Amino acid sequence: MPQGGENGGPDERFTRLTAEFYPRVRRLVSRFARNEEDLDDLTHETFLRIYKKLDTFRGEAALGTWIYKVTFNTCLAWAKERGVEVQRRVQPGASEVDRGAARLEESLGAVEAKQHEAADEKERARAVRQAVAQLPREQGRAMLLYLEDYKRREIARVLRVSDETVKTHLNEARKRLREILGERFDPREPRFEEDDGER
Amino acid sequence: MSAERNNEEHPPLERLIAYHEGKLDAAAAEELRDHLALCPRCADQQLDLADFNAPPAPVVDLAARREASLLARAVVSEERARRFKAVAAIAAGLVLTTLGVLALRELGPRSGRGTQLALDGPGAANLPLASLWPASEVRSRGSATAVTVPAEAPVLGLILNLPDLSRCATYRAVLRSAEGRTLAEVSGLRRTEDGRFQFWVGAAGLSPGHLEVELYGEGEGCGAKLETFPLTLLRPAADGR
Repeated sequence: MPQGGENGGPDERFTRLTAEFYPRVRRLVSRFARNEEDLDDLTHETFLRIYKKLDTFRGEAALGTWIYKVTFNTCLAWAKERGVEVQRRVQPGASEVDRGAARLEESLGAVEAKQHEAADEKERARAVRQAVAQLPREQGRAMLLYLEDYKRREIARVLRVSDETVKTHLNEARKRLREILGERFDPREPRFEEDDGER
Repeated sequence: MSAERNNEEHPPLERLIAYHEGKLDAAAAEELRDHLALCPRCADQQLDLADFNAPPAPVVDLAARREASLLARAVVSEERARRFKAVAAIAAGLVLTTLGVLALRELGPRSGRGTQLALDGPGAANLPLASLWPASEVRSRGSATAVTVPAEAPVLGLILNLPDLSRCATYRAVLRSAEGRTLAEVSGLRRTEDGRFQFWVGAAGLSPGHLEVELYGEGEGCGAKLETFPLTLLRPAADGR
């Protein structure tokens, strides 16, 4: 437990750490919080725990990793007590399956809008999953994450590969899906190929 | 493609951290990548870890900066106050425990129902009647035991030494005034292995003077008075009474 110390002591260290990590902790906490009150309470609780545990940090892991761990575990315990589910970093507007399928269709320019209106959503989602399942392993992973709304750069971080590798995988996946989906794929749709990683 | 559709258990956080830090072997990393592609929650955690380990961005949001500063101050104050309370509670606990141990040594159990006391009172070995607390003024065998009891003392602890007493199931001690008025009574007493009775009675209402402690047997064929012990109750010199 940190002890006193106004000048460069543990309390001062904690104050600096709080200033540095406050926005990140609060962003993570916000995915567990149900409202503003939860957000404030859980942020406070998290930093209180960080303060209490700070003298157990021995530097075996990076400080950021250690703070993340304390934060995540605090939030997870809090959420379990209340039956709260952790939210995604990016919140898809529709359900992930439907949105993923819709995004793929949109990006593939599969068919005319009127034809889509009549299609069975679940059937389309299944068709997409089946098509993705036929992709080579690396391409399939990249495409699955893409369909979950991750940016190319984020996919690269998750898979621990370069942006260029992800770009290649996605382009290859696109070609392969074109073959699998046939006429449902619209090659005029530029979204995949021109993905700049910011999407 | 969501965690809900993925029935796999989430890997432990330690494993996700090891992957993030590049510490998993190739096969384990491949296996984890398969999971991450199907599990947005774990994929999010990888991005969170990357965020937490990114170089700190300058906090340009003044409100956030102020919030962070206030929060740090609040946490430090709260924890200091909690620590102070904890230390105070421990100190109070130690004092109470010490006093409790001393009181137990001197007083024994409140019920007086024959519970054994571990410690002897001063002079207890020599006197047929001795006081556990306050301490007896030790007198020779056959004299009345004198006990100086402050007016505010809540209890009076007594020991009866009767190694030769015939055994009854339980015993009853009665404290009487010189006029024969019953001042206190404790029943259900049991002898200790070495033939003692240790009990205590409320001291409130006891007046200085000569008293008697009577011991009776309890149980079938044991109801008679067995012994009478003279007891002199004194007040401290400065007590004013």
